[in-house]
Amino acid sequence: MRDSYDCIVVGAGAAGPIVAVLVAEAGKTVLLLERGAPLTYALDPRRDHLRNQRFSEYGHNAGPAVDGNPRVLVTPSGKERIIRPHEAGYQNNAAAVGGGTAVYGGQAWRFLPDDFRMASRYGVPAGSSLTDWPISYDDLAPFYEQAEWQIGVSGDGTGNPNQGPRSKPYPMPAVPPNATTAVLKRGAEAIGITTFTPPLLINTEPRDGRAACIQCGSCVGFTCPSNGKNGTQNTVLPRALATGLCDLVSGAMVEQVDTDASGDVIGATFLEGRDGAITRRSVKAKIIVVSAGAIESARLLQLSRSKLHPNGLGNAHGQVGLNLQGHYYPTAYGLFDEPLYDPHGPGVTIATTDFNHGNDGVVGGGMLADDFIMLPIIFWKQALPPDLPRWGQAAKDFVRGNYRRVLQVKGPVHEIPIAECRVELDPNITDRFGLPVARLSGVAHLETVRTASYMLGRARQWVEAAGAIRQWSWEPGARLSGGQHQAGTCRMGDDPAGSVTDKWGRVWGHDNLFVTDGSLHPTNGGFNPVLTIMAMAFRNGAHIAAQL
Amino acid sequence: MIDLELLRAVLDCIIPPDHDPGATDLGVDNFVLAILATDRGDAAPSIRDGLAQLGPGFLALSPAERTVRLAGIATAPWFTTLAELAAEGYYADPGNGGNRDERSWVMLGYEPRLPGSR
Repeated sequence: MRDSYDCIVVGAGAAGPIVAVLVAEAGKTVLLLERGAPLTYALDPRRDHLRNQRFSEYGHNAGPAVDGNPRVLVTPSGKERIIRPHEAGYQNNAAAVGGGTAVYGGQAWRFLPDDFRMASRYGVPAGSSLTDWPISYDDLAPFYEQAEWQIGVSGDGTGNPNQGPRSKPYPMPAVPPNATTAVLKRGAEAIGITTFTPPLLINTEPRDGRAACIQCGSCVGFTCPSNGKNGTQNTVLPRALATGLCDLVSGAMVEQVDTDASGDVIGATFLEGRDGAITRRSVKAKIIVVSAGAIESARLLQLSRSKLHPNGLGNAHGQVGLNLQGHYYPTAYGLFDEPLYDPHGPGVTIATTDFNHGNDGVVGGGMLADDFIMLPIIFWKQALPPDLPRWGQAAKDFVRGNYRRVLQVKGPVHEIPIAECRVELDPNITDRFGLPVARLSGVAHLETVRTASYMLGRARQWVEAAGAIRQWSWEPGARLSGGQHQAGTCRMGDDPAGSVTDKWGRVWGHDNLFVTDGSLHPTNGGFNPVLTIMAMAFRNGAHIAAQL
Repeated sequence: MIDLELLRAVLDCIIPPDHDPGATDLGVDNFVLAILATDRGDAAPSIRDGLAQLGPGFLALSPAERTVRLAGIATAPWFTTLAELAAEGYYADPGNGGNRDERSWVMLGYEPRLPGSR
């Protein structure tokens, strides 16, 4: 480690290593700090079906540790609950080198042009904080392309009839169909839905010295046995390290972004817990980039309090931590006469974007697709019909007879943000380092719930048209949203009083402090957001490197 | 202490043996005991008491009679919790202590394709 760097990046998730490689390949020094640990298949080959990113009943394979990392959830009735990382309501993503990209399914969606201009298209619903992005699809398109080619996406570049203009195809062909594909295609054709193969950050052929997907069928929630799933940890991070100008420190919890006596940002202080002792190090840098995910980035800015910045950095107008959002995921299950199960992963094979916009009576919409292969215990926990007994011969018979004959159609709903969904510092509870933890409160806007309910109806319609002999689902209710798709808490904008950063992720009031991750998203699209987070990191990272 | 004989008898009503294994055939009892001693210690007292209330007479009943008896208390929280734990042991990976030899996966047709899988 050096005493000072040109740039410090806080967080090695979907965005941080992209900024790091752009800075390092520009010949500048960069320190990449990650609170989590390295996470690869070689380090953790076990598939623990009860402790993983997809189903975390008793723990989590991607961090943070169950003990010492609580959050506080304030329920709608005002009751406070202390929640551990694997428990419902924590809104966990991951704490690991690569962040969620080490264990994700890797759906690689570009947002649609109208996703960047929701307020202009639909108006601002009462009580919501709906707004346009300060940039357009066209501004981001070249950087989507960089993400697709430098991280690695497979897909059908011409399949999506609703997509914005693209100047290059995907670098790899789409994943092959499976037994579900034909059934859902049949249903889609019956009701006039256009479908295509979803783009995935998964190698369908060997690429960049790594193998193709071996179709193990347990993508989402776990590390990849062939290393053919592309995250930041196996693409841009090794590139950054190869320059010799990037230092990665994992297990490093940033305590605060440091400022000097005049309030200017000068570096960062981080904590490491080893052998029961906590060590603290302060490092200087010309530019600090916060890239810790929507909850932890908002927390860190608020933790960086000082006499001149009593509410934390970038928070003079109280905007930091507002507008927490994620994705409601309406899901329709269908039981079919014919076997649908195919053990060959990843499992996502067919999607439609016909309902992302232009739906009568609701704001926005979302993408719908089939899903990754379900582990048996997840089938039990999430996919059984609500009226099925949970014990006895009937329960056993249903699972035995129908595990291979149930499919699902689901998708992320473009949420309508609301300022009251927020991240604050809890005044009482601290983490294992003694730092105040994130305090989460608020309930999604009613328009989000309405759109989710509408999309559930569209999903059910598709499942029915495909020939389901029975289907079931659960109506969405009002709750706080965030989770793995968390976004919005440091929104970018053109007005310093109504946003946290400018359109480059530069925190208002500080020339050398940036945020880049899902926090910046004014709205979060009706799609898995990771490719947008990556594209924004390529865009903002190039801008940052040019300042140095 | 949880009455082991009663626990096993109830688990085999929750996931009964037929032409495929029942709960205790696959080690679900071991899974449940382990989880009640660790992550689900909170549920241990109510499950212990719920089993005790079934009484020793429960073991004298035939499997069909046991099922009828349990149907009468099937909405009791201790029982619904135990049923979920049984499913976790039966359907999750063998590394968790149940689902011996991945036998439940064979039954329902789940095919793990990891390197080294069967």
